[in-house]
Amino acid sequence: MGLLDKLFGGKEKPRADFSKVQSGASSTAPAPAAPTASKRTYTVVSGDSLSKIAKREYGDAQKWTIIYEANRDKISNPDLIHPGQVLTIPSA
Amino acid sequence: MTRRYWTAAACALTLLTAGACNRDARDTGAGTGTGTATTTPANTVSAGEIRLGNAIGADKRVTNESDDFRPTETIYASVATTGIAPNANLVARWTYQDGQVVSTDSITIAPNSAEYTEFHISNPGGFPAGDYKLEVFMNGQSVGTKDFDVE
Repeated sequence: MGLLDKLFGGKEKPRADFSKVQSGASSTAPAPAAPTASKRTYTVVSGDSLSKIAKREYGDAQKWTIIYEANRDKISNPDLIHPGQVLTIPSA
Repeated sequence: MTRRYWTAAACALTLLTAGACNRDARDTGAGTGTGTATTTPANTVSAGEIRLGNAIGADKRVTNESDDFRPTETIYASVATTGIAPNANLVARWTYQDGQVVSTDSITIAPNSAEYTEFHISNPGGFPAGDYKLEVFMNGQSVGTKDFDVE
């Protein structure tokens, strides 16, 4: 606001509105490769349960669902796993 | 393997005897038997020219270079990069003459060679007339600015 505007009560010029600006970017270069999630496997032994494995792998028995979800193709009943089953252990 | 070993050893011996041990060849371990060292490009990428215009081609290069635009034009910036890197982050910050940020855009690329990256802005209601600036950053470092006008 100029001095004359201040003296004579002029209005401040409104700020430009860029709220509707559309923008983007693209490149001839490829995008970086997505990091692959680290996975391990664990072979079930007698006496194991998903919560026991979760406790051992993640330090938290409540995280058994992570193992269950990663192994839905192998586990029909989460309360029933069998010795010798090879389970995928995703990173928590 | 054995043949390569003996070839490299012979090369090294020849170079040492001639008193002209090639530092690059020693560093890269890439003795070819001809005394020519091959260097593997490091994971480095650098930005080159920044060009502005109102159109780009499929190669992401500006086809109609300009630094004066009409309010409803789409403004394109093409940034050349050279080098190889598993990832490089490019940011374009567009600002108005009063310092207002018009737009900030970011893209992460994995350049393999000479590449072009385009940024663009448009305003359906039209850009206010005035002076603008584009500043491009690569991995957090400013790599160039371009001034332009909207009339």
